[in-house]
Amino acid sequence: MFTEYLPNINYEALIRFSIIMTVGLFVVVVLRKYIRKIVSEHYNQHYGMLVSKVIYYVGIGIMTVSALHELGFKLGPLLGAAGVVGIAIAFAAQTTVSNLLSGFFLVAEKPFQIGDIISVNGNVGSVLSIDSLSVKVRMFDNRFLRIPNETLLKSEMINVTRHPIRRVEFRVSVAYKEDMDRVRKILFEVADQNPIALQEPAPALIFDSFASSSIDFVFNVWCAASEFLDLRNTLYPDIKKRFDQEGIEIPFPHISIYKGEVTEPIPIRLTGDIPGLESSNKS
Amino acid sequence: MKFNVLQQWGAFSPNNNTIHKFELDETLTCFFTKVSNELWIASKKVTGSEKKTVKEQEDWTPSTQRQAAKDEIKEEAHSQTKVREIIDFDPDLKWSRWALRDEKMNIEITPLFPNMPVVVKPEYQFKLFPEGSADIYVRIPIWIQVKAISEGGLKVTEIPSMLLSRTWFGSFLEGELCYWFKTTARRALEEDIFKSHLCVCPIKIVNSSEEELEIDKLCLRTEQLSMFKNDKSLWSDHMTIEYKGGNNFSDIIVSGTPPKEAKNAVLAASPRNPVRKGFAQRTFRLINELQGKIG
Repeated sequence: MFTEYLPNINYEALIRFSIIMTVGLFVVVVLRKYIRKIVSEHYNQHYGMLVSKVIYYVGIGIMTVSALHELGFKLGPLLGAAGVVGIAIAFAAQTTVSNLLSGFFLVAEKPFQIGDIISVNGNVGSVLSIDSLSVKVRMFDNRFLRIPNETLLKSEMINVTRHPIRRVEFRVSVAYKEDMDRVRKILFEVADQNPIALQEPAPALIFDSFASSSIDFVFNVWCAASEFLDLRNTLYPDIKKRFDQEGIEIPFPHISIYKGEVTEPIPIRLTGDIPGLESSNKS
Repeated sequence: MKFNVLQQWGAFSPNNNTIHKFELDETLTCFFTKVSNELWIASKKVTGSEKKTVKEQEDWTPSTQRQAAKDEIKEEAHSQTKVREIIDFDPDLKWSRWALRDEKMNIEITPLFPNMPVVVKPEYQFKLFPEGSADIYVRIPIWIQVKAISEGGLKVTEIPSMLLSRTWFGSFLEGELCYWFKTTARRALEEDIFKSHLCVCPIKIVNSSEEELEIDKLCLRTEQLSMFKNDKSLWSDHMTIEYKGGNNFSDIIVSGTPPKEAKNAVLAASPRNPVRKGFAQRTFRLINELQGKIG
């Protein structure tokens, strides 16, 4: 039965088949590489990769059909059979098909591009590639993360680098005795002197709460999205250094005992052997 | 080890036994020396109390310079002793090294505008009535460009004269990163305006709109400006900025020639990114979205 599709196999046909496959593969690979480079340069890496994939799969398809035609295959019945087999495979591979379709939606919606930093289900990393079935991510500890397209479509995803600037929140606590206006002035000076902090959008100091041991503020400072960590790692030490210079106390949790509303805290001296108290804690 | 003070912009040939010093006011000091075919460069932002820490002043006296100039250039082998001398000269300096093709170096230092636009904020706001115009002078901190003429004018490095703050010019979704610099935006040229690390930019602002123009800040596309020098100072092209109101782009006309205040000035640096003479850009600060959503 199978032999009716192979009526004219001979050496000449085999040679033509080999030439088409070899030359075709070479042309497709070179064309794919060239087009990817051009599109990536003129648009972005994301489009470059998509176009290269389309070229590759379409090219391979045309080449295979042409080569089989040279061998004398009758493609009509073969494609018909392929359709029936395709439906059967689709039922058997629902997850794969779902991922494939999700991939199309991701490409159409374009929530991120190659190189963007994304956060999905607590995993943060840089997008390496957006493929038919999954998105590949390099996490910051250099682990490789593969996220199925379907999962990505269903999950909340944060694109950290989508917008060019980003706000960093600094939680600052000072002792109750400190002058809030002075603290405000010093914090703004610290931000002004930090070269990573942007002058505009201007920093903002927001009062948070009168906490048990401190007055708490949230100090919002903007920076270029790519310098988020640099700002975090430089502004906190700057604030600490400046507070130390200015004698502003950054409090730790403590309890003051008073005998009345306006008295000084009562000094406490621990003496004698107290069960459970280490000797180093005695004073 | 000898020392030599470079007195002006231009070319010089580093010696094996000499550390060359180039100062811009009291903000920046650059050091150049040569070890075999390597050019060594270091810089130091000098502020307040640090002014005397570089090296005692007597090391840089004219007699020392003359002595250094008279010395013949003796090419020494790259020795650890020589390197140690350079490092011991000022342990705080961080030297960068460039291996050039030719041992006979000819290095040129030229002034240059910063590599990003500069947003200048006048210390005191001023307003321009409809159909009014004003001439102002703002000053922009320069960068130093080091080129190896002996290597076909290859750029070696660029050194900012000041560490500038940065700002965002645009909306939350798009815009550009710029340097930020406060200026007095003077209306007249006074003697104290001239500093060797600042370039004077003469600007004419024309308000062609029917609304009052509050000049809160200006975004100067310095990469599109030339720099000129005369015996007094560094100058940019004369700029005319025409404000057309609303969210319309402002027309900017760059003269491409020295301003009338410095007619004898010569070209010191071509624009980093030259454009046509008249171009439309956002120059004034009119981003309501940015002002309204901070917090």
